[in-house]
Amino acid sequence: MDVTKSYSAVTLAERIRRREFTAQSVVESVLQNIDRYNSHYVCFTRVFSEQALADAKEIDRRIQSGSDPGVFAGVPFGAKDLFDIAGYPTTAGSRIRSNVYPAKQDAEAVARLKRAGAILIGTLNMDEFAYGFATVNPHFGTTKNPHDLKRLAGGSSGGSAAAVASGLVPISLGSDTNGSLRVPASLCGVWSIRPADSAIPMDGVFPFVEILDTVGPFARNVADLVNAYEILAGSKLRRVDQAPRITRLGGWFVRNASSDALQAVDTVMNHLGATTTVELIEAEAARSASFLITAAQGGALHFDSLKKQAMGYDPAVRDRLLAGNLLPVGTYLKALAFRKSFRKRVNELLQRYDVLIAAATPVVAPEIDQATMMIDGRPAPARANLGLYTQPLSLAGIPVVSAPLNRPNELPIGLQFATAPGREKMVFEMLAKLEYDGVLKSNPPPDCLAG
Amino acid sequence: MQSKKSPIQFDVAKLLDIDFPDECLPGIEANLQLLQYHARILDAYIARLNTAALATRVP
Repeated sequence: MDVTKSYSAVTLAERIRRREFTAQSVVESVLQNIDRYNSHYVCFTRVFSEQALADAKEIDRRIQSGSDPGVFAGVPFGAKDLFDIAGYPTTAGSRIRSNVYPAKQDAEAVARLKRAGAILIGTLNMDEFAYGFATVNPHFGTTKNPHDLKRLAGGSSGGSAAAVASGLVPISLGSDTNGSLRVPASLCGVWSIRPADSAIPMDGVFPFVEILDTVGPFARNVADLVNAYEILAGSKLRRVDQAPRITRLGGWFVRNASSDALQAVDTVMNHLGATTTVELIEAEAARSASFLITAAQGGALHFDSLKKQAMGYDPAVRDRLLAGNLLPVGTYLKALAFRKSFRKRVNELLQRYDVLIAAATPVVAPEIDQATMMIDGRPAPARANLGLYTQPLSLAGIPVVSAPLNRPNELPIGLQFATAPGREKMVFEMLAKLEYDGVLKSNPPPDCLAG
Repeated sequence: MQSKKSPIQFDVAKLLDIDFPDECLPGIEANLQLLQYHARILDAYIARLNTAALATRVP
């Protein structure tokens, strides 16, 4: 039996604790599946077989001796290749970092999952230096969408999303600067959460844009997502005893939406009996500010490295970073000033509403070679515009859950549920009800080796 | 023979002091145009905001 496809992380851990399975047998099954499927999906960039088996044996030993290894006892997971893993270089998806000094210790997020009993299997593919929405990586390959191998998995945490969607592992870690958790979650049909600023520690994570960077988990159901989030955040979520005040975001968040995206929001709103729409008139400017801050800060971060080895970069990333270094400082400062006022405006909106709903991506997964999509009636680069609806909310610094609409046998599409810091539990409870009612669901992809 | 230098090539070399071949220039220029597009959107929003703010101050 394919345990990581059949069971949620929480159920798998319960069964391992009850000694119905050994952690070792689970890890062996995962390693076999990676051998079989990874060349098709291109999720894992490195697999730590020996260490994972040793960790699994240790979990089994602890259970046999009567101790409880934690909520995720024996649960296999993968981490985007920008989390430090002790003893290995952190590549951040780049060949130029393949020979840097190995990390001295695990990133704090990785360490927290391990302390909860989870077993690290390997590192996962990404856009180089997290600068992209596609996970098209010239060094490690293009991660394929498990629902259709001809399509993008999204990015930049595409390897992490595809590994969970395909059932190779039940949970994984990714990062989100402009939408790098939410975009691949939407396209691959899995759950994720971009946490509020600083809610999950960034220690040991290769940076991209310091003021926008966050890290978070992927999962295939709400319960796993909540458990992973609480472990990563280091505390249990507080309950808020009030019915959530819900609205959808109109204006920018509807403009350029495909019928799939519009129907996804309609379906959820109808099921919740919610009818209001609010327009965040600053959303377009927020997206632009996010774009500009990313180019400027990302460019500055890589400036010295570009001087030494510009030609070792992914050409697409290199040109973005070089352009970012040419951005006038006045433009960057304007974007920063705008960010401050935008956050105030969003906080005001969150005094009136608890949950803001919008599509996570304007479209389902594009084909890998699809160059353009229609934006405002004109063809525009498809990959860059996958973050159309995630980038404004990144600038707000608020927690945003990405959840898949239940549409079996169709390409997945996800929704964003944004809230104020401290109200995450309220949103998770609402989403658990929507999952229970069959409105939201992570559907398994077809077996790419069948037929 | 002296090669022709586009204005962008001159500026990039001068400002960044980074050595890369000419083939990189179209990519840099395309990205600069994209950044300029976003800068214009931000400027337009700020201008609208300033106009509105000034309007409220008119006696």
